[in-house]
Formats: sequence, structure tokens, C-alpha cells
Amino acid sequence: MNSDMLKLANHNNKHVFDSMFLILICFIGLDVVVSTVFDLSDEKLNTIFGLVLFLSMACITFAVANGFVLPTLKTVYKKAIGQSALFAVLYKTC
Amino acid sequence: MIAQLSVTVIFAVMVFEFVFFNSFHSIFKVVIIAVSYFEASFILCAMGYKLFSWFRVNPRGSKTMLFYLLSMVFASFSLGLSGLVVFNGLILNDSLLIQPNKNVVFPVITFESFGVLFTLLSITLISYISAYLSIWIGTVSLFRTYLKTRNLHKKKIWILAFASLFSYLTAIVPTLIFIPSKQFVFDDQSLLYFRILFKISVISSGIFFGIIFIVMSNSMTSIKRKSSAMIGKYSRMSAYGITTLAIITVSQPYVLSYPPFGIISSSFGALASFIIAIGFYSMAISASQEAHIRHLIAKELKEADLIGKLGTAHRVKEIEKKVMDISKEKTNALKDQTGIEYDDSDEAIKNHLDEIIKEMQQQRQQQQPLKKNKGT
Repeated sequence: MNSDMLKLANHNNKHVFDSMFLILICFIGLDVVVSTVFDLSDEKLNTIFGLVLFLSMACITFAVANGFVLPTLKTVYKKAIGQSALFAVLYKTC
Repeated sequence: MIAQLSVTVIFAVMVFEFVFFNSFHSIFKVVIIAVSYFEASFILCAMGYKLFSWFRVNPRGSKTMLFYLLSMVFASFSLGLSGLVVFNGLILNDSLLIQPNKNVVFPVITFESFGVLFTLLSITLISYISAYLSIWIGTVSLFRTYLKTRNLHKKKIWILAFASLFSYLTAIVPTLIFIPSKQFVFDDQSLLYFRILFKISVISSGIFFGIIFIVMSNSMTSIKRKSSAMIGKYSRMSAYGITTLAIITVSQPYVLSYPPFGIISSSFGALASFIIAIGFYSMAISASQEAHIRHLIAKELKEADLIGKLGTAHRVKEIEKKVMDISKEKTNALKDQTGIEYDDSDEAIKNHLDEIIKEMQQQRQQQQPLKKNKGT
């Protein structure tokens, strides 16, 4: 792969990382909002709708985090993570 | 990676039980939260310590970063305590199997009835408030400096900043008032709207903090200098981390509800802390190194200007060489200390030099008419 293609790949990775992280933030926010609804009424969420909502949110959030955010994190921020021993260890444990 | 994958596996087992048996064991929720929160606490603590060690060696470091250091310490402490609260809640909970429950439970937690849990919740809340206030002050002062250097006015962002602080304090006041009388009323039924206001204000604050860092990141990456682009990247990383962590802190993991909403957000504590820690730490060190090098160049140029030698190309070359030598030495020392690389290439130093000469010339041009006016 020549340097221009490598640059383009890095650029694309960065955009994928940014958009995926925004999706992750939205779903985490939605989870917190729905958990607050419990304070209003428990019954509303103990239904098929609640179950489907919970499962679909969980699937999307974990798929985005484990499938896109974590793998691209290291490639996009390799300068920050790769050059420090502590960061590399923390990346592995987090 | 390890914590996040373990959490995913445990979560999958919990979902399996939840779907096929219409109930789940609370131990799964506790383990997920323990892994996520204790790991998050450890990461923030490690980064706080690294940042503190760096401040001891470089006492000239930015005061704004000191507020971020404080917020990291408080956030680490509160996340660790939240993990303990969940453990304590499990011990106190009679039923370990969580099933659909038609009644909404609003627990009244007093020192007499819950003892340790009351103490833990009170300290956690005070610690979260301290973390929030430190991060708010740090971000506001950082943004103020940014606007000052660029002569900009962003009224809407200031309104958002003060509105989120005001609503946060308003929402938390009733709980704080009752703590001296040994009652933790945060989950009280009559304070439902305060609880909703609290969550809204924390989420909007998280978005506000994120916007500030994104604005700064965009402005840094627009400067065609490698070192500034790197600071911009770290700033963007901090934006994602800070927004995610702010949202996670209001997920109330100790409430054992069915379906377990709130657990999804709670399980990303480690990832958010890692991103926030790495972003802040790298940004603080890179920005401070850039400021230090620019200060060094400006000092050398001013000295040369005073003795009237700045005009000669030979003198500028001499300064360039001197600054390059010192910069390389400092950058190598920085890399050994922190592991963070800084752009100290000849081209980067030359760019700084040209920019500072231009700034000095502009300042001189602005001062000349003033002197003429004074003379007349």
C-alpha cells in the first residue's frame, strides 16, 4: 500500500471512529433516559416492547463498541497509545 | 480490551437467562458494574498519579489542567465507591433473582436502617459533585482562554454552561440538605422531578464539555502544523471520553430494575475512562510542551530585538539553531518521562519562529500609532 492510500485509509478510519463513537454516546444516553422512565412507571417497560427495546439497544451498543470503536481506537490513536508502555497496558486491560 | 470483552460475555449470559427464564440473577449485574467501575476507577487513578508526577517536575504547568487533575481524582474515588455501593446493595437485597415487578420502589435510605450504605452513598454523591465542579471550572476557564486568544464571543455556549450548572445545583440541593439529618432522599418519591432534572443537567453538561473540546479540536486541526493537529486529536478524544463518562455517572447502577435498563451504559465505564485519561494526559503534556517552546522562541527573539539585531538574517538563523537544540533536548526528555512524542522537526520549529516574528511585527505596528498619538 503506498503512502497516499495509507493516508486515505487512516482518514477513513478516523471518520468511522468518530461516527461510531457518536452512535455509542447516543445509545448510552438513551439507556440512561429509559432507565429514568422506570421512576415514572415500572409497568410500561415490563412488556414485550420493553424487552425488545432493551435487547436491540444492548445488541447495537455492544456491537458498535466491540466491533468498531475498540478495534479502530488503536489504529486512529496509535501515536498516543503505542508509544507509552502505561497506555498500552491500560488499553489491554480496559 | 480485557474488561470490555469480559463485560460483554457476562452480559450475554445475563441476557440469555433474562430471555429464556423471564428473570435474571443480580450477581451478573453486580459483576458487570464491579468490573467496569473498578477498572474505570483504577485507570483514572493511574492517570491522575501520572499527571500529578508530571506537575511536580513541571510546576509551570497550566492551572486549568490542575482542575482536570482534581476532577480525575474525585471521579476515580466516586466510581470506586459506586462499585462498593452496588456490592453493599447486593448484600442488603433479600432476593437475588430479579423478576418483573409491578410496583415502583422508592427506597428511603437512612443511617439508622442502612448504616454503611447511607454513608457510602453520601460520600459518593459529595465526591461526584466535587468532580463535576472541578471539571466545570476547568472547562470554562479553558474555553475562556481560547475565546480570549481568538477575540471570539460565543453567547449560546455560555448560556448552556451556566444553565447546566444552575440546574445541576438546583437538582442536588434537596438531597444535600437532608444528609446532615442522616437521610439520603435522592430516590424519594416526592423528589422525582429533581431526579429527572439532575439527569438532564448532567447529560447536558456532558454535551457542553464535549462541544468545547470539539470546537477546540477543530480549530487546532485547522492550523497546518503537525504538533497542533496532534493536540486537536487528543482534544477530540477528551471530548468523547468526557461526554460518555458524564452520561454513565447518572445511570444509577444500584437500582435493581427489570428489564435492567441502565446496565448498558454502566458497562462502558472502563472504555470512557481510558479515552478521557489518555486524551487529557496527552493533551496537557503536548500543549504545555508547545507553549514552552513558543515561550523560549519569543524570549530569544525579544532579547535579540532589544539589542537591535533581530533584523539581521544571520541572527535569526542563530536563534533558530539555538531553539532547535534546546527543543530537541527537551522533547527527548519528555518522551523518556511520559512516552508522548512531540513534533520537534526543523520545519515545525521554523514555523513557530516565523509565526512569532509575524506576531511581534503586528504588535509593533499596533503600538506605533499609539506612540504617535501620545507624541502629538
